[in-house]
Amino acid sequence: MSNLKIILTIAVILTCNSIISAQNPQKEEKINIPEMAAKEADNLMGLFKLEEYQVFLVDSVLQANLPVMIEEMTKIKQSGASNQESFQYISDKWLDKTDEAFFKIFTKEQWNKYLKSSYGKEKKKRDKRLKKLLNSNENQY
Amino acid sequence: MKINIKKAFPLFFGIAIWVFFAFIYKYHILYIEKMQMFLFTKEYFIATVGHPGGFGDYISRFLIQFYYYPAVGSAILALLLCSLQKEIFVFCKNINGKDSLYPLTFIPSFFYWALMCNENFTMAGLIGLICAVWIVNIYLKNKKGNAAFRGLISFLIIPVIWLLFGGTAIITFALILIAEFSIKKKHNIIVSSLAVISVIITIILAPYVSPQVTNSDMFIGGNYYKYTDTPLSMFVWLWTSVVAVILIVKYIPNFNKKWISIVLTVAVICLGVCFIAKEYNKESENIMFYIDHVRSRDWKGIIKHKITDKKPSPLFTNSINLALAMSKNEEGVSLIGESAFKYYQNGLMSLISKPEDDWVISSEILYNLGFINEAQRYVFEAMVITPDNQTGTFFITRLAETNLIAGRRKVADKYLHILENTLFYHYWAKERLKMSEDDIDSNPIYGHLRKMQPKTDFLFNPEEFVRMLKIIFIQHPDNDLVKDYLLMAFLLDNNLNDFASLIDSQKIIPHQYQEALALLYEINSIPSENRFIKVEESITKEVNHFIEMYGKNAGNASVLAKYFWGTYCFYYTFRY
Repeated sequence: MSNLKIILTIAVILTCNSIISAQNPQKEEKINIPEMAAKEADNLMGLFKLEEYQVFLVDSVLQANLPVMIEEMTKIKQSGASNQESFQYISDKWLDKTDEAFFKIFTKEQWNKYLKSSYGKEKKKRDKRLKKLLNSNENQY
Repeated sequence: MKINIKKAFPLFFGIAIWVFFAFIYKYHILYIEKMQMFLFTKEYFIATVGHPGGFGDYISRFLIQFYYYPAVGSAILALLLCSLQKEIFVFCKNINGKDSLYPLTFIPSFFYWALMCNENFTMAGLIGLICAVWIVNIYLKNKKGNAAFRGLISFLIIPVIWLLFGGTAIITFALILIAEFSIKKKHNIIVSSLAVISVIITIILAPYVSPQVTNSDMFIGGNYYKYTDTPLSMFVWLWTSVVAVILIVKYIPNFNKKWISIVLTVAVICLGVCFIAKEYNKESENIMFYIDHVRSRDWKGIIKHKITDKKPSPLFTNSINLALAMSKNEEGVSLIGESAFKYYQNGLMSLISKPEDDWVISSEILYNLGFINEAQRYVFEAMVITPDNQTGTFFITRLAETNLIAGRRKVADKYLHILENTLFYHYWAKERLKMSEDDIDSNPIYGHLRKMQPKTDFLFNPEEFVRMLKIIFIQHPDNDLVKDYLLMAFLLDNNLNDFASLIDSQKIIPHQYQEALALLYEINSIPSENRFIKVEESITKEVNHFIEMYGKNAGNASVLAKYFWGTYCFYYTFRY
């Protein structure tokens, strides 16, 4: 499961939850963060041949970052904002933080492989979006 | 010395199957046996046989009970797979197939061997297939006899096979046609037509015989697969392979060159190995290893088991933590406090999985902790979600035990009386039926667990496992296992203060518990004279070394992992 898939899953669950809870307040689906983090750590372990301690660290980073990201997204959802950019901004911010942490965990070869993979492509897209955002902010002032 | 390939190949094939299932895939064999309960009762016979393919299912279950001894179970499997090859070979011979293509007759057996690597495939399909080919071989013996007799057999055999063994009636039909067309001068179109009519009648009448099943199950007929959504394509491929092999052996011209025969043999073996490698599931074999060892309380076996996974499944960490907590070293110190963090730990779910992820190992953990009623509920839930609705001995034995411990004698006896009708659990049940209440109290396992049961009723919430542990610990402060679980829960949650408050200074403190205490002292800069529980100097030095290295390397986890992976300090620092 790539980072993008994690974000999509979270977004779908958040959206579904709002629909479900409106219809049946008792049946709100919980996001299982340890399970999501474990699956993603498994995936990264397979793709980049991580060592045991690296898997532990990756899992730990994800378990720390995912709840905060979800919390921020929930807050935005509760504030009534529905534009995609807000959710995109938060996911970009947390994925960047996650990548920063991964950079410290991975070896050089693993990191290069990571950048060449779909994760790297996503990172490039995020960097582009950030550049665009910064440019538009500069133009405003 | 000349090796006769026709004699040697089946022998090696049989030995290979036996070795594979008796040693490499042993825990699958044990698991499959535990997930069913064959009873020598009239009611069980009627209930099992009373559906199309039920007879095959009954024989399958009868044979599976011998999986209790993996060596015997594997021998049965080896015999069946070799019999399938032999029957196909005999069929080919009967229709004047070519000798040189003999190795091809092993393909369906290799295919079924691969299928048997999946615990959800039963023996019923294999038995049905052997019987189908065997019956057509008997039919072929009469090829020189009169057509009327053959016609009668071909008309009756298809519905009979379907009723007894299920979907292999299709293969019977195909083989009858091949057989009939292979009888050159005596070939009778009426005989073939009768077989076709018989198939049509079976298809028309089948929904009335078994109206409650789906179309795919109707097609298969028997319980070839434990789940209701039988993978039809697998059986279509398997049966096609049988027909294809027979047609190839019959129609491809003979060749007498030895090297071609050798190449063909090697090719068939390679193909078979590919089939098996594809279906071989090491992860599930490992899980079944833990299920078996946790149930048989072989804690040493679990601890000794080599872990090849860099990130073991939660079932592994649950099992290893239980095994460590149940084991003590020479000084009587629990191993969980000595070495838990040498294994991969992943927060609280390392102690127990959520019920939706696993009922089986979790039930064992709860059972040993003293949550007898909850363990019983978990076992019951696991039993009712068994795909083929069988009440496995794994569950029934535990239900009998939990009821014995909880003092519900009549309920326990009900389960024990059921087990009396089994072959391998008969004496186990008899022994427990004889047990008096005093015997249970004095039994080292049952008596201990009876004492450790919760004293008051409370709602068990798996989401609040730590709170549940606290409740039972307050009621039984002498329950060492619960205490270790509680201490580990605090450590896994990086809750050092609660951990320290629970440590008993009067007892020998295990190494990693001391490490956690030393870390707490260093974090809070507690001077040595105020340290209420003493920590060995060497351990304090280790912790100080970690702190020093952490500072030097600016908290670089990768560098620190080289020296401190497997210590609690590393876990505490990098488990955010």
